Amino acid sequence: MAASIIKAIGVIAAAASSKILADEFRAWRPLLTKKLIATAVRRLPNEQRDRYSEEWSSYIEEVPGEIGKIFAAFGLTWAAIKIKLLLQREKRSAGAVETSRKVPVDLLIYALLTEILALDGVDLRQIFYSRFAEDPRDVKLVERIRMWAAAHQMVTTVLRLLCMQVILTCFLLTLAWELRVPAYRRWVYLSWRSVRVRHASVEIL
Amino acid sequence: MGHQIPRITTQTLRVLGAFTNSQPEELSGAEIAKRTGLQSGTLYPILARLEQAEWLESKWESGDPHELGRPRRRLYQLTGFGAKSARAAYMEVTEMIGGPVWQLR
Repeated sequence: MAASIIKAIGVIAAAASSKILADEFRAWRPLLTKKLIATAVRRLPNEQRDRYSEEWSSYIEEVPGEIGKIFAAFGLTWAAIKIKLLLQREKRSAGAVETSRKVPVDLLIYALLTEILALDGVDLRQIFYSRFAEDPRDVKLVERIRMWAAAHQMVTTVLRLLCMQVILTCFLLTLAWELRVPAYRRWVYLSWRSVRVRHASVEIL
Repeated sequence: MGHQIPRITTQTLRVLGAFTNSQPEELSGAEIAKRTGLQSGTLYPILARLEQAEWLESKWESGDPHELGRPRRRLYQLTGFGAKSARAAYMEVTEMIGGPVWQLR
């Protein structure tokens, strides 16, 4: 008899405490989900925070069940991390596109400048000619002038050839970019390591 | 952003499937989650990826949050380009697995 009374009291106490616990949980749940959403949103870039804060608050309210809401709020932290990585990749991708367009143009300018310098720059021969004019009988000086002149000629020719190569390559790359040659653009994307662009590929996970 | 092709996974196809079979055409995140059975941690990165690739576009539902008495929903919709690309992806996967995509669960 006493045992059954104790058992009954125990059942009533358990029921009452579980009701109290459930009420407590329901009361604290909005605050908890709010905190979880805030934690998730903090992982996103500044410009995305307001959007996702409101969107996810609305999403959580539509998830059925109090425990379901908590689980969904935890999941948002994972979503925020993945979205952040995605946005970072996009930024790097934009950088890759910008760089691929900028580099050939910059190289083209440098090559043209080098070419101009090679043509009209400091001519070593001028220095020796002026000294030669001082003493035309100095045979050693004449030899040195010839040697330097030949070296200068060779360096200038090599430089000019290199410049022409660079100018031609840069011109073709710029042209390919501007004409939107798909193969070149694809190569630019794929050669940029951090960019993950797949063309017509389907993954079965 | 240009039209770059997003990574297509079975979950992505399920999200796209929710739109292609949807009435109305605009769906909130919760509605998509209900239709696809995906959890928030999987669903939102997919939505972000598809939006980035311009397969989806999103906008706030009309109305003021104070008048609505709750935060506004963000509504997602397939773009014309997205609808075309989704169909192509379905066909590709269907061809690969020799059956409807919906078997991939």
